[in-house]
Amino acid sequence: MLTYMATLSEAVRAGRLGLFHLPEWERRRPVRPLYVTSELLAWADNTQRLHEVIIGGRTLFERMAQFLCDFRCSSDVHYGDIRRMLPTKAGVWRMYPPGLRIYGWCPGRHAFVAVPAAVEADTKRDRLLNDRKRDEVLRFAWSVRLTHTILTGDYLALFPHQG
Amino acid sequence: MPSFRTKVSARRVVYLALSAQVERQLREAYARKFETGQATQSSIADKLGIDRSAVHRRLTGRMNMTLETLADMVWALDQAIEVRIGDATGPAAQAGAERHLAAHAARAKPGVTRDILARAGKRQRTRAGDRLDVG
Repeated sequence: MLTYMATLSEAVRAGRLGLFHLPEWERRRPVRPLYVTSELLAWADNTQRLHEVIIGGRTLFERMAQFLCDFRCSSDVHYGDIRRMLPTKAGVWRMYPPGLRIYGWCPGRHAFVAVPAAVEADTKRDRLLNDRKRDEVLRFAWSVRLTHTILTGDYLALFPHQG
Repeated sequence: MPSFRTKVSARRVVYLALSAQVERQLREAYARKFETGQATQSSIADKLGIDRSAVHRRLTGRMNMTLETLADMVWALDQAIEVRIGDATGPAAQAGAERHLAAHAARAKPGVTRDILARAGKRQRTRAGDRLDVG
């Protein structure tokens, strides 16, 4: 565990975070960084429902991968795709891929650290799940000494239009 | 770090690439129209005689559209379609493969990117030469 105020690069070197690499079907070049935890990727790989539930011809797993690709490569992040969680002063954001929720924080403008995720249906069934996931993000940021990188602000402050 | 790509077959990749392109281009076309005040989801729904929620599902890729549905959306957005099916070893595919090779190389060992790209270029030139000989 890191025992001092760390940077994202140090968390990457320590193996706690990694840059999300684009899958082979994505031909665009990335324009914004997206960091993910190995736990999140393992969750996506090992959660059977993500590979069985199909929305619009694609599995939740494929949807999640495409959503993360779009975040990395699109010229703009759509307002409906990422929203702040309450309380806003905590600086935790939630992404909205079809059928899923991904939680994390913005360490800079047009940047995101994705920590845990959940199946949308589970968040409807368990009303406290979102709160637990938000707290998980904050606990993770604290454990890697990155709480000072959590930016607060609204959508236009953190994802200003680049045109 | 575990990778997403271990789960996706080469056959599936073609479908994912196609559906991602269609979804992205539809969304971008809609965003352009919406920003200039020329279209809303409601106006498209009215034009097509369907519910607004159906337009939302199509724009967010939450349904597997038929060619007819896709054509309807393109028409409602005053856009045109261009479909191009090419050789998997053609220039576009090569460009994508090179970007991917470069990304792999950068991940595995910084400094080897140039070598791998050079090898990819050599392979491409060899294929082009083969085609010339055969032709």
